[in-house]
Amino acid sequence: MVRPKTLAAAIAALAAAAIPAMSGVASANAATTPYKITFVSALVNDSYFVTIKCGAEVEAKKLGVDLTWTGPTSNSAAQEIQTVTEESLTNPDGMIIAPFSNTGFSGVVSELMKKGVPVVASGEKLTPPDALTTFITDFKVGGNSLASTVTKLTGGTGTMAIVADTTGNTTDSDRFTGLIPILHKEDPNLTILSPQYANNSSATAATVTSALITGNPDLKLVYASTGPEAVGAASAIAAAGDTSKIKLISFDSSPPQITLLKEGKLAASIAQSPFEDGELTVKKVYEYLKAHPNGGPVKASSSVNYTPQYELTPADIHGKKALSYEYLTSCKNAPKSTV
Amino acid sequence: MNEATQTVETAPAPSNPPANALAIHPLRRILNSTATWVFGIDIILMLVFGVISPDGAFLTSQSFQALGLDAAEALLLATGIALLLGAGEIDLSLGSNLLLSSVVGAKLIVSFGAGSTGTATILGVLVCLAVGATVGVVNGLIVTRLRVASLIATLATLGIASGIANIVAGGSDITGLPQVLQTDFGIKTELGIPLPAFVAFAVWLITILLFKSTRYGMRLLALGSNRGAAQRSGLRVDLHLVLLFGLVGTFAGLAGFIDLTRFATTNLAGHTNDGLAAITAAVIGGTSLFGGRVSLAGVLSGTMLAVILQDGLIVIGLSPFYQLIAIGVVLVAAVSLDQHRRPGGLRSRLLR
Repeated sequence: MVRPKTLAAAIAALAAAAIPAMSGVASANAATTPYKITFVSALVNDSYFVTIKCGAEVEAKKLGVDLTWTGPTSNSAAQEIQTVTEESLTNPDGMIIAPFSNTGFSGVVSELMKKGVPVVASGEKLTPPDALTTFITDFKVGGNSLASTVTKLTGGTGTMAIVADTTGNTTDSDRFTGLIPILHKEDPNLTILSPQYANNSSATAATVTSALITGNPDLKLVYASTGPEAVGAASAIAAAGDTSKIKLISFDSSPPQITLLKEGKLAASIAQSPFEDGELTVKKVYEYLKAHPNGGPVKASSSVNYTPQYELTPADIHGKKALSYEYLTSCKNAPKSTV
Repeated sequence: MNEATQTVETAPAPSNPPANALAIHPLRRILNSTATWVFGIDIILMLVFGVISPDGAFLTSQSFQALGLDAAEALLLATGIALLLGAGEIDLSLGSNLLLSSVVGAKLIVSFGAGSTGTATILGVLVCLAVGATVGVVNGLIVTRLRVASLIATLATLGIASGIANIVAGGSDITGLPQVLQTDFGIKTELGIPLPAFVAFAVWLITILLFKSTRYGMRLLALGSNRGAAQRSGLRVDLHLVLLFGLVGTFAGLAGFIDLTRFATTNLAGHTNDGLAAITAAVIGGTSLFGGRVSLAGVLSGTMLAVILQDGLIVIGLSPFYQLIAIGVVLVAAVSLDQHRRPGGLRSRLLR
């Protein structure tokens, strides 16, 4: 019979052996086995995130990294946090998170970083800045850059409406919060309505837009903060028969938005560069792991790396540059490495 | 139209009219029904929004068209869910079913290319209906054969259908649908009525006729009010339920086709709450959550209440956060008013 003390000692010995392995640090065997990097996103069925995935996969292949891509199909930050927690139990060497909440990921990210697992944020900054670094579109710069387009399309008069995505998400709100004061200053005669939220639903965006058209006879412009909102707004404007009077601009370049641009139903849209984002985030984690073979707690930083963006219009939508900013629906047609 | 409200009671319940309720004058019955009350609230809200909105914009034909278009898909889903609730079942998967139908329909239409839009569209409608019906029948089989309560069964298929939709779509919304689908149907207005609203209204009307003029309605309510008695009286309960789930799924499939034509693309991330919204509309209109009472007239007034509130609050320029509060307050007020005036409702209970 095994004495309890012996059993306890054996368990302790096993645990001691297991702890370094569980800490997720890329230890001595990193040279022989590839780094395991896990990318957790949300809305994994959205073309923006599909494109990030394609970029991340291209870079992972180039660097010989074992990349896992996962996350919920909804935009639920709670589900995404749960996924990050579960994935952290699989002991990845590094993680990339495209967080759908600024604040909710704090606990799990700082825990990983303490254990020596570098975590890079993509598309949204964490508050407090618990990640190693952040790769993001400068949404404020992108939104602000629409000011001249707004002035051109409205002549600086009439009413402008904003159909936004969700509340509590600066990735979304930065697309218009900087633009509004600029427009107030440059176009004092333009009325800007408070944003309405459509939560990724084209049907809700259509309902909201048709109500805005009814309630604002001098509505001249609708600004949709992302793809499904642009699709819904375009349908409502067309249903009201007001396509010549009411113009539509948006953020992002999902396939339906590209179609709208080609049909002239969308006057402008700010495209991000998710492919490059995917490549750069994987590269960053890889480089960190290479430079820190002995692991140890990872130092968090508020450093931000901005990825390129570009204003697409019906005039240049068929151009070569525009093509490189179109979001992908599958990685079959993914470009080769860009970084 | 309020005659569509049928009640079969096997035991007297305090919240329902007494057994001789059917002897009451028809006009009084109509005036007393929840559907009429909610319809009254609809009218009052429309007048209020009409007065507050700039130049009475809420009461213009363009605004009515927008309301009709917004209500079309919701009316189809709520009609279906009312029938299921009447039979004592529920379907939470309607939103996913709508999505899956629209995705499969879109794939098929796109695969035909631009050349044969007519054939593609007809096949598209049929495929949407077929997919919807299939998901419905699967729900019915899970409930009747595997003996899983419909709440759990359809919660499971909610996820399954949404997963399959994402797989079929390749994880991204489908584009490349012929524009004529949108311009000639999805947002097209004939005689002042948007075509999708016309279709949804027609389906609703046919459902009322089916419910009123055939034994189907009575049997359905019997399933909901006393399943055991229905079985003992020789009703083929399981078959009835499977067919009913199938019918309701077909409604979701039709809503999926309408969604496709309205936006000329799919909306993978957008239909998660559709099923719940449909249940809310049906229950507000007077359909019981616990079976045995269906109000198809109330489905229309309940659906309109949601659409009027959502549109009206934006038209009058209320900011979105106050809208959430206002919608909640009006919903509670509408339902509690209805409870108060009912025999055996809160008021009579307090006076007892």
